[in-house]
Amino acid sequence: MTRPGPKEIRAIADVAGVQVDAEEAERIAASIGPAFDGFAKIAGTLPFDLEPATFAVVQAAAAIGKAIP
Amino acid sequence: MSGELALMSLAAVAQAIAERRCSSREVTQACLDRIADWQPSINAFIAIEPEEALAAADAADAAPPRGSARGRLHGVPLAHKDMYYEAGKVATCGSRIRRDFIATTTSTALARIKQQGTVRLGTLQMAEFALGPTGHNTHFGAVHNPWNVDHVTGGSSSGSGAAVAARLSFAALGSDTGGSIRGPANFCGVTGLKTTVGLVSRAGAMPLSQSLDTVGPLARSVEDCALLLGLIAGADPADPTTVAGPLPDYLGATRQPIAGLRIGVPQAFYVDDLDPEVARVLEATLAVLTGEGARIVRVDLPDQSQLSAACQLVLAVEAASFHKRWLIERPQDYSPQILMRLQNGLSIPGVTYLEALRWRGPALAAHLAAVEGVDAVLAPVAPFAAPTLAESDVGNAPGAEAMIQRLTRFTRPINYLGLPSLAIPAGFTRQGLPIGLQLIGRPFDEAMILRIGAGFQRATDFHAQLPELK
Repeated sequence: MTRPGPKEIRAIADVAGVQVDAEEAERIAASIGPAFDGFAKIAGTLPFDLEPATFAVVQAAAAIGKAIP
Repeated sequence: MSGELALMSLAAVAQAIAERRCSSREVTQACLDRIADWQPSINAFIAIEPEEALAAADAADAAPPRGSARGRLHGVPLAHKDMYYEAGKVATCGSRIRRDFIATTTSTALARIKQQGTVRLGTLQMAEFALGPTGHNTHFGAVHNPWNVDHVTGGSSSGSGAAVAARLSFAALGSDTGGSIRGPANFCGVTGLKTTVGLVSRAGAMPLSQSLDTVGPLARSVEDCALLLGLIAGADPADPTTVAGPLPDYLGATRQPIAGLRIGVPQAFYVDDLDPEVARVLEATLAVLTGEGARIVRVDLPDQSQLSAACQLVLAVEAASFHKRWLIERPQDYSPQILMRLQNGLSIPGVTYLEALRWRGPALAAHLAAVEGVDAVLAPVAPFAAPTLAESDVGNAPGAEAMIQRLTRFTRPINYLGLPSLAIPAGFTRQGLPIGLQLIGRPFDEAMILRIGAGFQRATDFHAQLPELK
């Protein structure tokens, strides 16, 4: 996963309907970049059938002492 | 006597009023007197409502002495973070945008507390839209740490931490999305409980991140947190993410011994780059717990920095989504720092956001496997004690942004995993600033971390120390 640069950030924000100028895009890239870097090893590796609701399933299983899926 | 009333615990003052050893008016006046003394120095309140509070106290005193009309907190004056909606009252959310916003509903958590007969003192300070870990607020002024007013309180529940520490309110609701209860509890020397995602209703509480937001109390002791948790926890039709089922006896758990319990201590991340004073407090705490009969064991946790990164991605996108309309229509009404943080979410592709959410289940499963056989994990809340307001001011201090990232380094992973975590006062720096630690539990097992925290507080008196007004 590649962290977005200022150019990509301006484009994404524009698609979202919010304007950011060049200076703001530079700052956003610097601020959120480490989160992209930290998640890079996970991104693109998740199994096909995994969906967000798995979190609630694991949480519930732990709460009642069942085997964690 | 009047001043001493404000220094009692929540449980003790509720009992004293119930037994008519003191009146609600006397207690409320004692709190108002302390607020008048402290507010100019620490700025913990956004709104103070003395006339309304005293009228409510008089009404509480006039109620029949016993029976169903009286709740467990009958006549006890409280104030909460100014993001819990109360119908007909302003809830500023610490912002200019909502400076005049009048709520039309009452938050479930607040309603459940009010049903017990509490008296409203006013509303407490917070970071703008709960998006800041220091206590700075451009619109309402910074909140100052009662232990040293040159230092931050932590945030975003800055007023809750400061007001409870200075004994202005017997307890306060806070919220924790990335560390916003545990940070102020840690830096202000009070007890704070971040609850499991799904335990306490978020209905009527200002949203920041629907996946990560949690509601919980800050109080003067673990026992007081347990008392409040027992009142606010449980299913709520207005928040379908809350989980149904019987609740444990949280107060009863605080009376259980801790001998024989297994407490895990991470070998990495939470012990890396600690300030020596925090490391000293951690070691001393382990010694106390061992002395109480607990068994300390090493735990090797999965990569916490990945959890922290995932937390940031989820929080940024969800916060930007909630705020998108105002980002378009009223960007000038945010403080520059908050606007910048909200804009971060605009840069994250939808697929990346969903991957961060999809990974949450496996990440929680991996954590639970790593702590198998352990009753709780003990870790610092932050790598250092409260920094000064000046050195953490993002707008004016070079390096402040990096410091702020470090402030929430030890709390964000727990939010991503949705786990409960109890911040407890555990010592002081040589300069007299509080240092806290967090007990991290299993999902919905608040009773266990309350039990361990209460055991620690029976053996120590850090939670009973009082800051002095200078």
